[in-house]
Amino acid sequence: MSDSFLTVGSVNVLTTQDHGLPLEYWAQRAAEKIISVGDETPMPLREQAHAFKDRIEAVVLHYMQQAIRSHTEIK
Amino acid sequence: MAISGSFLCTSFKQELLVGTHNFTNSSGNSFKIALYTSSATLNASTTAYTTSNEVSASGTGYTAAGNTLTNVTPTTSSTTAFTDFADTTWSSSSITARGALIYNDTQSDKAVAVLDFGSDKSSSSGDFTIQFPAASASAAIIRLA
Repeated sequence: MSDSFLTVGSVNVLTTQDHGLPLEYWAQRAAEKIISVGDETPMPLREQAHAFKDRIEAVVLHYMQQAIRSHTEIK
Repeated sequence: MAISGSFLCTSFKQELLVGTHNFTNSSGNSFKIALYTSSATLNASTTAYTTSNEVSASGTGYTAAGNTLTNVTPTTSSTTAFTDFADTTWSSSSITARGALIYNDTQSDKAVAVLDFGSDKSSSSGDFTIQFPAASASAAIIRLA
C-alpha cells in the first residue's frame, strides 16, 4: 500500500515600487510556462531543452517589445 | 500571528471527495484569490472567503474579492495529479499583504487554500505579482500524490 497525500505548493510574491515588472521578467515567465525542463532529464536533452527555452524567451521578449511599439504608434 | 503557514483547507479536502470543485480550464469553476493583511485569521479551518482584514480597506489598485485566476486543467505525472493557475498581478497598486486565500467563486466562495507569504509584501504604485510554482508533480500549487 502506498502513501497518498494532498499538498499545497509555495507561491513567490514579487512587488515593485513606482514601476511595473520589466519586460524581461514577463518573457522569462512566459518561457517557463511554455517549457518545463525536469532536473532528471538526461544531459544532452536537458541542454537542448534549456537552449530552446532561452530561444523562446528571446522571441517572446522581441515580440512584446514590438507590441509595445505598435501600441504606442496606434495612440 | 494570524496567518501562520500555507494550507489546503480541511473543508476543501472533504469537498473534493464529493465533487464540489472543478479546476478544468474554461468549462470548470471560477477561482479567485484575495489578499489579506497580517491581522487576518486564516488557517486550515477557514471554510470560505471573508472580507475581514482583506487588503481592500487599506490598499489602492485592489478591488474587494481579489483577482480571478486562470485555471490550468489538472493533469498527471507518474502517480501524482496536480493543477496550476496562471500568475496574477495587481498593477499600479499600493498594497501590503501577508497572505492570500484561493477560493471557489462558483461554489459559494468555498475556501481552497491559504497562502502564507512569510512576511508582509508591499507594492507602491507598482506591481504586486503572485507567481505560482511550476506545474509539476513536485511543485504545483495543488498536488494529490
